[in-house]
Amino acid sequence: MLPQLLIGGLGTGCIYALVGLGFTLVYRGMAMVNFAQGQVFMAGTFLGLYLARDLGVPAIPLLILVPAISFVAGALLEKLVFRRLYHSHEVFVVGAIGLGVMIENFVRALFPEPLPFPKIFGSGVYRFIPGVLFQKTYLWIVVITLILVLMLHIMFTYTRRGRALRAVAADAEIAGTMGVSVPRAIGLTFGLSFAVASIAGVLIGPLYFVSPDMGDMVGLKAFSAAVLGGINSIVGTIIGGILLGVIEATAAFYISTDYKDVFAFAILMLMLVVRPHGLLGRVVPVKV
Amino acid sequence: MLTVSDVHLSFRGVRALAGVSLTVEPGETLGIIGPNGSGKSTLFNVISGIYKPDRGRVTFLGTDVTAAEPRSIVSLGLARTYQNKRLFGSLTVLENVVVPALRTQAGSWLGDIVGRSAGRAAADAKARDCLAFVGLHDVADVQANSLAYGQQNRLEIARALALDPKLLMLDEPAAGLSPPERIEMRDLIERVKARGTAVALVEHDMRVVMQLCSRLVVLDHGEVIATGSPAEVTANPDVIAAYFGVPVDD
Repeated sequence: MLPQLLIGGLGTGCIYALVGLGFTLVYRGMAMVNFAQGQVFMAGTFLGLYLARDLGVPAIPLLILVPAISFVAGALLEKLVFRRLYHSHEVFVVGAIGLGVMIENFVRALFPEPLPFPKIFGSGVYRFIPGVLFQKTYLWIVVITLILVLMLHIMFTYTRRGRALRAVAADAEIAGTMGVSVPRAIGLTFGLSFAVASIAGVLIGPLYFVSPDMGDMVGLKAFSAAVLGGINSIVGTIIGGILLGVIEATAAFYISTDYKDVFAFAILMLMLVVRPHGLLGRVVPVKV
Repeated sequence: MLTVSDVHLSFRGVRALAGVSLTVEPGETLGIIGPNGSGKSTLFNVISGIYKPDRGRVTFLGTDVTAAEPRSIVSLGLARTYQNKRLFGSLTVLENVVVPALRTQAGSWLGDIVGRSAGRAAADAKARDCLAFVGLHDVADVQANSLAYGQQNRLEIARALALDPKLLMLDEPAAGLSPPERIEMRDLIERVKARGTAVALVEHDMRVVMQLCSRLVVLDHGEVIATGSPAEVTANPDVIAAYFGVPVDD
């Protein structure tokens, strides 16, 4: 049974990791937490639902189109909404929660009932190991997550935009004087955070009935995953996400499904008390 | 090339600068000295556009930069370092210098990824030159926040040089350095001067200041109390009073 649980945990864990990456990207760049991340993930699912069910877009174009649209939406919302909230973290957090509520109710107005998501990745199973079922969707989730992480790594390490983003994350004021366009870097950061969360939404869609409140819990758990791994570390967030997915799946089976959601938040509490910078995060010294 | 005229700045009623005027001529090395809290760093922050003065004007190469943004002042050719070392700690030493070196280079995403962008290659080469100039070429791939303190000072200078400054403002480049490192730093600033770059230097180490600067400006309580050659300034009774207190008549 354990291998089966690990596969399920890995799949959900990748989703937490991708949504958590959205938190991490914004946190690294802005030192602020965007609590609308879960609703962005949900909006990605519904955008995917619309494109796949009503317009018949197949899996691979869908995985390009949804993040592309979400990227533009993220950069646009940064310009219209988030930019006005940077002056204080409290204002930003409350504003982001408010934006999340608005996104959720906007989607609810369009799709009031829970809906089945088209099986865009097929419904077959693989049996790589005897007795262990590997759903096609899970394979897509893992492979696409790997590709995305690799792409982000290449972008951050080798491209000038990636370097500019890291320079802004390290010291925005100085980066600005060194010729980096800070507003553009921040727009790009939000665009990317929306894009990865929306891909997670498309990937998980076929596994469940989708509903406008599906982002609430995923958003909070992805935040816990980011805190677990280290919210200022990209690698940490991915490891935190996968760890959280696996812990949840095994604990739900061996302890009780009723308490499944408790584990994520117990880990969050524990980390905040014991090691607030996470497993792989750095302690950021406060400069005066 | 730089003219500061009658600059006033107060923070919540506390007078930080009270009518400071000074000039820096092309190719010159101007030393700005004064006791702690006399307004030296505040003056640098006004010149580089981080603070806006309440009153007065700053012009650089004939352009009024009093209300200009830091980045546009940099693009006119005025670069600086910071007293509290503001490196991009999570980037490598080379990347720290590539960021400013890329400022003037065009390029594309795809070219960057496949490593065929001419602009990026030029920026890399320029960054390596700047690192060699300050003597950090052999630690190019080390993460910046793992550098020794003395190396961080030099990296800040390399990063500023990558902006092609006509005037370089150095805020306490020798602070916290060991005596041999101070000599290296002095030699490095000598080589910057030899490139024809004008230098404005805030420094407490009087030996470094005396050797490097042709002219000194002394600040005390936000006012210029003396200017002149190092010899003139050190003989000035006001300067002695500012540093050591006023002698009591008996």
